[in-house]
Amino acid sequence: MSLPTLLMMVVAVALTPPLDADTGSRPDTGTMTLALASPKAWAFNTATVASPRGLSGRIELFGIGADGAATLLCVGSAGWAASIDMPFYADAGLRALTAEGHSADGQIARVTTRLPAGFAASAADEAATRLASRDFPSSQRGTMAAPSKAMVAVGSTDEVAVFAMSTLFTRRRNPGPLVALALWSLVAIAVPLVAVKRQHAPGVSRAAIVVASLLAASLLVANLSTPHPMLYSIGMRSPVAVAAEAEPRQLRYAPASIPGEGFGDVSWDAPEAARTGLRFVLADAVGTRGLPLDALQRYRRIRFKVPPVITMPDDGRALLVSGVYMAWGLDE
Amino acid sequence: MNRQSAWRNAAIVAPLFGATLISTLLPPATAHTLALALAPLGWAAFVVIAASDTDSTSAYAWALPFSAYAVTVFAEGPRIPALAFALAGAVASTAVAALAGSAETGLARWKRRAAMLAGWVPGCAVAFGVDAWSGLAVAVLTALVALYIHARRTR
Repeated sequence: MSLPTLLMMVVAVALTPPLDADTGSRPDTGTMTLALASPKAWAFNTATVASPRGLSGRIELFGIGADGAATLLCVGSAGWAASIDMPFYADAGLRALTAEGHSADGQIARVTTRLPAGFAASAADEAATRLASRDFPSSQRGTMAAPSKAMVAVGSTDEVAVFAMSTLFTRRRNPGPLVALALWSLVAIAVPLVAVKRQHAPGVSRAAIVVASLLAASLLVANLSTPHPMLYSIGMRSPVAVAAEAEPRQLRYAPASIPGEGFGDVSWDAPEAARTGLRFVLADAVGTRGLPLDALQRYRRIRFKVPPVITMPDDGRALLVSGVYMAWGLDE
Repeated sequence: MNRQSAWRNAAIVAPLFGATLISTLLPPATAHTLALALAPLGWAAFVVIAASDTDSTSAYAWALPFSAYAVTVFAEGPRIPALAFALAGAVASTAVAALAGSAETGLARWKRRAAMLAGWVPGCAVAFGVDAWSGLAVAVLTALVALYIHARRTR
């Protein structure tokens, strides 16, 4: 290694701000503040990011784990406001939060706040213990249409979740586009043969094909572009009912579709199962703008297999970013 | 158009429809938006080159709805810019290929194949390097320059 290169490395290291020894994050800069209101582990919480100089543009909220790794939790746009409330999902492993963005005068701003002692206590309370004891099914979602009713063996909570994934929470299918593409394929093969018989001018046929192609593509985009994010859930038998019976048995579950604003909600319940309490949840927002956070507000505590990132588009409605989310939730 | 065109079209749409059917059996997933938009068109270009065909316009047109389906169902990013770029890239490819003439033998045939692929290069470089809208602009510019040169030659 040459001397100039070595000198450049030494200067770069000397100029790099040291990481905070407490949180492992980069040091604060600017006049940004971050306020939390009694955050709980395995729940959706709200952080208020503010600055006396005002905020502008994109604001990002990161969670800092015990290992110092930063995970993006929420992305919002301040829009020249003095403060912004940012919802975020708190995994039990979080130790601190960092907000990064710009103040209204264009200066970079960053602030890190350790989570209060109550957060660690919430990670060990009765609700958290109940959620932590559940496993996530590793089975894939079924591809057959879901039944209108189902007999579910309720000997084991985890078995109910596996059954739900394979049989009840199946992916919706829209056969329309596939039929349209099949017809399109047949037309592609038939048109040259018809054109030869009828002796159409090649230029006219080509123009017609291009116009038809654009029309078909536009119709497909229009038909497929408005899928609703879907939220599926299934209730578990209440602990009291389980304790009262000696042998596991089957319960007849039926779905109830509740149209939400911007999402579909399918809840599987049985008369003998508690409508509140522990529920296995699957959110499918693939190919959509995202699942509205409102859809999950009924769960005061919820443990995701993979913590979701929340975005706040300009219309102000917080969304879980597009994806598939598996969770155990307590609806109490 | 003739029976050979029918076979060429079958070679384009049949594998694309097969891939579409298979995709419905896979778990929900997302993929790179531009790659989804360009893959069916790339397959159409491959078939045109392999068949020594001169009609890339209709080949791209038959493949475009499959691009629309793939992008709309599996894309992880904005769909409309990717589809718009795919359309503009196909136009640029066709326009540049037209500059190489329609000879079907020898070096001229390879020149046309190379021109067809070269028409994609500027737009794709910008689309993947910057964003789809910028790629669209470059692809449109490429097509306009090619059409201008073609018009000047035919005067």
